[in-house]
Amino acid sequence: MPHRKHSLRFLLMISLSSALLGAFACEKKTPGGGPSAQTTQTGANALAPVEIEPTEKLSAERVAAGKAHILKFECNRCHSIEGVEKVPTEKSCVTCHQEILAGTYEAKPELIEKWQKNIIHLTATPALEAMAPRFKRAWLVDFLQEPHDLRPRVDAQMPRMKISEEDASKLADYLLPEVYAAQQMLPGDAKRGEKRANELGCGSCHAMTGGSLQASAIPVELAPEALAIGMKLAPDLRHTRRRFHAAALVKWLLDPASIKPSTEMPKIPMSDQDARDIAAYLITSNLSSPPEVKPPERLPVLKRRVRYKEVSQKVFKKVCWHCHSEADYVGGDGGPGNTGGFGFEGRGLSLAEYTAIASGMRDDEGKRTSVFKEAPNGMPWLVAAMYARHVEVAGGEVEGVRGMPLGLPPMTLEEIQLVETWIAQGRPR
Amino acid sequence: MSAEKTWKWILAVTAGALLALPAVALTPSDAEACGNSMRYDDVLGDSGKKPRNIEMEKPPQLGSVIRAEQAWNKGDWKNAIKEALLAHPTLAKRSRSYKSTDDAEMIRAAWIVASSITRANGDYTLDKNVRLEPDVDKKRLRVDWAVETLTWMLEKNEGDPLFTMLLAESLARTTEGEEKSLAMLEGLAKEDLMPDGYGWATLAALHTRAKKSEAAATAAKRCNTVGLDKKVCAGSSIELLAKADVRQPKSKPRPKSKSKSASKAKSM
Repeated sequence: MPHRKHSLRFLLMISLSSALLGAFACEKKTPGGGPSAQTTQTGANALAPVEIEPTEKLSAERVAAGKAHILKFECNRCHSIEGVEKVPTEKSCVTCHQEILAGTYEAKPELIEKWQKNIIHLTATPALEAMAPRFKRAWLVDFLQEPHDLRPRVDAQMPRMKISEEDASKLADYLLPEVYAAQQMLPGDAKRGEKRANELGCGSCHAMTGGSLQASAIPVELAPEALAIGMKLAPDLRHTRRRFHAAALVKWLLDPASIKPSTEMPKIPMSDQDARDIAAYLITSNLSSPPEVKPPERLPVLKRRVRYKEVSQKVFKKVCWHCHSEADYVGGDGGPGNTGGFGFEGRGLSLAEYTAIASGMRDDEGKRTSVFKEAPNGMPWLVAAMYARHVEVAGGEVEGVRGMPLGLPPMTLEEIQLVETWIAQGRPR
Repeated sequence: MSAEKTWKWILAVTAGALLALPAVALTPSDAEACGNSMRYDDVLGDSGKKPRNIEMEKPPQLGSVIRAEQAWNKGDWKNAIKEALLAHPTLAKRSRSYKSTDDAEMIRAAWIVASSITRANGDYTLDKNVRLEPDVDKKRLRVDWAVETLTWMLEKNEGDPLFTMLLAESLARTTEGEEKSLAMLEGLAKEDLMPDGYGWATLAALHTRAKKSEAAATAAKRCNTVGLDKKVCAGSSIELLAKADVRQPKSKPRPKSKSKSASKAKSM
């Protein structure tokens, strides 16, 4: 896994370099060597403007019930959401990390400095705003229940929460409070759309798994920070056909901020016809199956002695205790994995202390159970949960075990090996 | 490639590398994380070795309670009691001080003191001086206080393995509590929920007292596996204290202003 992280960073560096190169190199150049985008746009006025109007608005009661669900699942701990109060910084994973990285979090400078070195995850998440005109309800309801890797350049993913279809539907009521009729695909030439998408630099920020999108220069100048965050949050365009309403996609391509003012997606100069063609390409082009990913094999247990201090420093207090901390010391909130949160009832599992770990967690019936007991796949439960995350990232699922850390990249095989060795050796303190 | 283009290349690659630098630099370290536990981290400092001054807005007792727990984890019962009572001096004098509070840190301090005095077989006074006072009756009174405190903790946290073990350890030191203690510890052992080695050591002691040498050896072995010293694991240091013979002179009335528990605490 460290290799994977390093290669991701390397890719990010290369991508940023090439994107910036594009920004510099294309300053005065017309993409694709054809007529300039501006010229094409002025020449395409014959097309009727794209209008997207809701056919229905959900009742205030439904939307209010949806908001209650948003609060129940604490979506606002990671996302900023239109009309939903912000949570205090200490409860907001992303805001807290952002403030620490920016040095604005109220703490001693030496602590800030220490924490800054540790933060790699949850530094940016999309704002959940203006979703209704863009997204299909069916996709959202499915995604909330079975999240997939939507943004390949963000190392964290939407976590696999305990969301039923009914819950997902209620959440969608709040996020998509307006109903848009099934939109007919606007006339567009997918083949030309592919060419224009590659000329206009869509592939600089976006991946399109299984598609033909290539990385190329963006024809607009962007501030490096805006470019970096845009690249990071750019969704995999493979999913566009399931996510987007067709007409909304055309409007989005033409002027993203006209739909979502806070978007990181820049306005790329293109004609109406370009937008229709690119939309046709994104929605109708052939996609090959994504490459099959197999979860890696676990490493054998170590022969050397492993003690609690090492496991705690390298695993439990590096990652786990963010959500499984000691409630008594943190104002009563031991995190989602201990006292509850993100819609989870408290499992009473603190991974901050030896005695707390050995005290296990509450099972579905509320009875205390050991975290070292055998999981359905034969591994000690603690190991099974960490390994299950590898399986989830590979697109699978371990029956009855939720992958941990929730929504984050899996622990490395070496880290899992360390925990498994410690357990196999009788959990020496 | 023209000179201008070459420069653009260099500029772009440099800017890209600079942008990517934070991602490279933010390599996770072995140090503790912050996040949800930042208040804890704040007091612990680096690896808990050098406790920092607590920020003004933090509860001033927090540092002492954490240091008490650190001492408890190291088996330094005297300092565990001292630090916990430094944070909450009244908790051993007035049980209601922790029973009537929502202050989680104070409640934590209470069980740290109760467990420490238990594991020290009641040897220390429960006041700010924390003196060694191995008077048998007073030792038993202090263990009784621990039993009362930990019983309350367990009632408040039904089924909690830590409080089950700690209470069982206290009960194992009282002549009338052995049977209950054994049942509690065997329950934890069966479910693989023994929170630390002292529970195994107590189980070993109870089995030894019952002349079950094989079971005692098994418990002692588990205790040793989780890292406690062999001598501790044998359970021989766990004393059995008979009920205290506290005869108060009947002619001496208790001052009205002092509660029952306060006068009991004074004798502790």
